[in-house]
Amino acid sequence: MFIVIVGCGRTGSLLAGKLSRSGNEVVVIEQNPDSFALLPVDFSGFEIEGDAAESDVLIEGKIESADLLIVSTGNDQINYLVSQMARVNFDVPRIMVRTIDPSVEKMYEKEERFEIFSQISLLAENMINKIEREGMR
Amino acid sequence: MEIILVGGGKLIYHLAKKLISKGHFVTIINKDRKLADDLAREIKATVVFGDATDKKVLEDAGAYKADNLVSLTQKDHSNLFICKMAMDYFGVERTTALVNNPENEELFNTLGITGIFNVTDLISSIIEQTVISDDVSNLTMIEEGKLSIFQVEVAPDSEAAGKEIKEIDLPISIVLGGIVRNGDISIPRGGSKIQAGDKIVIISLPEEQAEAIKVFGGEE
Repeated sequence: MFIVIVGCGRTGSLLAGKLSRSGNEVVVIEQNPDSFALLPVDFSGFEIEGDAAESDVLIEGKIESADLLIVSTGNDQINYLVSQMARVNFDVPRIMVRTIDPSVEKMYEKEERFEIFSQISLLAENMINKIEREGMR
Repeated sequence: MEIILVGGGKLIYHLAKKLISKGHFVTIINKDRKLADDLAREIKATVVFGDATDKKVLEDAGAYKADNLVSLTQKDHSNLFICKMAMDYFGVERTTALVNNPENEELFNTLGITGIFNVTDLISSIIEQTVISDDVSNLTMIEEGKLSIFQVEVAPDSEAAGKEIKEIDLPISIVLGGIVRNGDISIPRGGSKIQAGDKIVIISLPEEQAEAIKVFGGEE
C-alpha cells in the first residue's frame, strides 16, 4: 500500500516506522527538518520537508496516488485544512485524521472518507473498558 | 444583523466601527489580551478575549445567534476552521474568510464558506490595473473579483477607433455598458461608432480585462 503521512512528531514517526517495516511504501511530510530524526534507522520511505497545507508540497509527496493519508500534526486546524484538501482537491480514497481536542471530532462527521482518531477519547475509552472488564477492586 | 469578527489590528477596528455605525451588532473575538482590552475601550462592541478556534469561545461570543461570522486572521487554516465550526456547531448561515493563499479559494468555496476575501488576487489585480494604463479608471470588482467593471478611454491609434462595434473583434464575454462622449452617455449597439476620446464602460471577466483594454486603449 502507498501511504502518505503528514506530521513527523512522535505519532507520525512511530506510524511511519512501523508501516514502512511491514512492507508499505511510505512518504512523510514535515515542516521541521529536525523531526525526521525521530524516524527509526531502518525507515526506508521518503522524507519531504515542507508545509503540507501547500498544494505543491502534497503533490511532491505524490498524494494523488496515495491509497491512504494519515494526518497527524499536533494542530487541529492544520489537520482539518490538509484533510479537506486531500479529499476535495486530490480525491484521496481513505483519510485518517488525528484530533487533539475531542470537541473537533464532529466537524468530520459528515464525510464518510474521514476516519477520526481522538487521542483523548481513545485513552479514556481504554481506561473505562479496563475498569469495566475488571470490575471495581 | 449580529456579526462576529475574528482577528485584530486596524482592519478589525475600522470594520467594526463601520458596521456598528450602520446599525449592526458586532462581537469581536481576539486572542491577544492587550488588543482585546484596547478594542473594548475604543469601540462599542462586545469584545471576547480568547481563541476563536475553541468551541467554548465561539459559544461565549454568541455564535448560536450570529447571522454572519467573519474570520480575518493571517492563517488560512484558522480561518477555515473557525468558519466551519461556526457553521457546523452553531448553524451560522453566512461566513466570510480571508484567504491568503489564492489556491485555497476554490476549496473554501466547495466547503460552503459564503464569502471569500482573496487578498493576494485582489491586490495583484489592482496593481496590474494601475500598471496597464492611465486611461483605465473606475475599476470595480464584483463577487470578490470574479467580474470587473471599468472604463477605458479610446486611443486614436487603437483598433476600435473609427469602427462600428460589430466590426470590432472582441471576446464574446466582454460586454460594453455605455459610451461616454463629451459628458453624454449612450447605450452601445452593434451599429454605434466608436471615436477616439470616447470613454467606454466595460464589463468583463478579470482575465479578459487586458484584451479589452488593448482593443480600446491601443498598444502600450
